[in-house]
Amino acid sequence: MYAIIAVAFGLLLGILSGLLPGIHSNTVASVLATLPIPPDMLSLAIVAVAGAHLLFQFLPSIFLSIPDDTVVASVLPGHRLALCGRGREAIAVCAFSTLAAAGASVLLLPVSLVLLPAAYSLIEPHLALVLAAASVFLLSSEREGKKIAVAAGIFLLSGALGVATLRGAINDPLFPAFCGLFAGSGILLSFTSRTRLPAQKSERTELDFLPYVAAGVLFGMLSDLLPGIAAPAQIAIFASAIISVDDARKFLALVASIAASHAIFAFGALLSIGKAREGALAIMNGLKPIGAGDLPALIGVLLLSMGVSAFLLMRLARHAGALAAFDTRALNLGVLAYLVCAVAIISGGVGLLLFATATAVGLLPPLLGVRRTHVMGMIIVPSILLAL
Amino acid sequence: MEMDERKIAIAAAVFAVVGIALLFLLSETPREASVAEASVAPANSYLRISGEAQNVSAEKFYICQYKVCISVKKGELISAQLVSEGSAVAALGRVKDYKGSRYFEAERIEVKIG
Repeated sequence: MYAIIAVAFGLLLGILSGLLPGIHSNTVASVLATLPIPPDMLSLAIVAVAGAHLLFQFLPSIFLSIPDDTVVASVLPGHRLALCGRGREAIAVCAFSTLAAAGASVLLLPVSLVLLPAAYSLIEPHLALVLAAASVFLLSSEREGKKIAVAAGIFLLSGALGVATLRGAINDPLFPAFCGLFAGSGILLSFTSRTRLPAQKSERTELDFLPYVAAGVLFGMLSDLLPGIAAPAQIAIFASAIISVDDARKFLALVASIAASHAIFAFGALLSIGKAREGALAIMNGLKPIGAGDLPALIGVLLLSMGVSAFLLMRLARHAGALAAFDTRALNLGVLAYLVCAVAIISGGVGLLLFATATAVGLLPPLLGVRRTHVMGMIIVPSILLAL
Repeated sequence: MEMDERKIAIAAAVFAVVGIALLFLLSETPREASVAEASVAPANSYLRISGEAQNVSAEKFYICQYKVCISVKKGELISAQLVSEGSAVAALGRVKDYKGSRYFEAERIEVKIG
């Protein structure tokens, strides 16, 4: 009975955190960990949060905070589809890809327990070199010389921000940093929007993106090997070196399936190489070490949470017309005010400075027409320096 | 209102550089501390502690000094692999609090060999 309450509570929190831009499931997990809840129940709730968040994050990322494309040089693929009235189709692609990738990843989980330690033992002695090479690859994926130079500048600026952040006496420093880099900057750019969403068409879509789901499963597993290179959009760049990602639906399928498989294989990484690549998993493992015997219940709850969330998400997306008529500026302003308050309470005055600085850094990639993922230099550069 | 992306980008870049410089100015320099001091220091204190390594496992070990020990999380540090039972170790990092108990999150580990 308590387990059902924990899962339902986690599901509800995951839906809320997914719908609120800037609130990561790891933030919810770290708040939950402070509550007097038995570790077993807490683990179930955290896993349910992660599953629901994974699905519901697509709704705001596709329908909200869409910047004006005359101000911002690069509009995200989900936003692009929503602007064409295909937002519901984008949601359907993401939901289907997440569920398919999660199912395939669970089947491959025993294989990962053998493959991950072998691959990690090869990478670990050369971690700094591997991270540096991966970063050079990500930068060179911009292709044009000028854009590569701009991306390199943003990567190094983010790296300096990362080093300054980790050296500072800031409580929970990654919270203000990531809120600024992604949520704060995204919300500020959305205020430039002059256009409203057009009426959204049916969610009917072709299943021609299935190969991208398969690729997402594979790359999601590999993403659990390296620190700092775990954002689905980052991994998608590596995948796009092997397979051509020529339209927004395929990109979304790839990103959604990488996120789902990363979440599942994170359990494999923890059990096989002892590395918790998901913040929520690290919190759970800190409360009570996770063993192989815990996997069936945890993975079961994760899949259940994803399944229920996918169903609810599809139902909610039918009312995307209401979102089209809704002026999201007030909502975004509310979210921004909430983030500022949360940062002030959790991380104090220096946290607010970090939030503002990270927001400024996060504004640069879309304004200068390069990929947002270059700001992950904030994690990669300090990781390289530590591994030297 | 007319928005000029170039001007916004320049303003954002200048703000970012000034912000990062301020964050560096506000960042701490590590303080030498005993293991006992680290055990009662406020969470997030930036310290350098040293002592003898005990109970070494894959993820953590204990630094002990005058029979007082603190758990040290190894993280991704390659140098942590050199830590063995009884070796003299110095660690640079932050004191963390987990449900009232203190542990040390190392960002640099030095092992004295020989």
